[in-house]
Amino acid sequence: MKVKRYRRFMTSEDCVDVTLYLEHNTIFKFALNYRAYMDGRWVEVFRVDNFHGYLHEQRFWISPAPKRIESFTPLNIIVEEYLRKILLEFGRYRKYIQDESRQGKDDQE
Amino acid sequence: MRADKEKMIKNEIALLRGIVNGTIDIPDNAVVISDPEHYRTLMTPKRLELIRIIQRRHPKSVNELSRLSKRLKQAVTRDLKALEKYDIVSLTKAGRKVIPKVKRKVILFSLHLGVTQGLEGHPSSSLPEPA
Repeated sequence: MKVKRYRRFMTSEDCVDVTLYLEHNTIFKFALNYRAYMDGRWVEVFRVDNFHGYLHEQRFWISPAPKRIESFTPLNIIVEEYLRKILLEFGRYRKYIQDESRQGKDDQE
Repeated sequence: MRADKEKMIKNEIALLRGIVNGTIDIPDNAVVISDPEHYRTLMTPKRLELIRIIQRRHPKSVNELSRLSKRLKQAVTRDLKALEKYDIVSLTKAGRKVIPKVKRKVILFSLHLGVTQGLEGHPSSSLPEPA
């Protein structure tokens, strides 16, 4: 078993943390975590992983609660597809979390 | 813009596939940047020098690092903060001192360049120009 972790920067304020557990060139466990730099810190925005034995997504602008994903697609393909999705959509996700954070501040006031 | 994004995605998928099938080996916990311009902006020769000094001399404070690098403390602090933001160095408080440590290696990966380049021996100024 091999573990590979890396942090990939799309911009200076957007990055995705990739964690892969590999065996015989096959992913059997993974996590993709998109983070955005906001107000001087890295904030979790979107995460997909199968760390608790099932595939799930977390959209932090909605809730940190995991949403189960049903899929029979091989993990190598799922990881590629999710990575592609994050790279395409991270600007939109950042906007959602910024709006949510602004909303939270307004509600406090 | 669209072409840039497609290039970035192509690059990223190539890196992922390379890692999975074992044709690309990167250090664990590396920071990966695929835009040479972004790499150059972040890893300036002076910042690379700071990283080398931290790795080789293990300074116990920013003052010591400033002395070893023969640079002003303010300038060193500014560069350390930038590297800390990228999680390349950590700054640990020990009493009144701040100890800098290197956390992650920085890799430039580009499908166009076809290589991964580690930090050691690759000053940003020597990187090839993108096509």
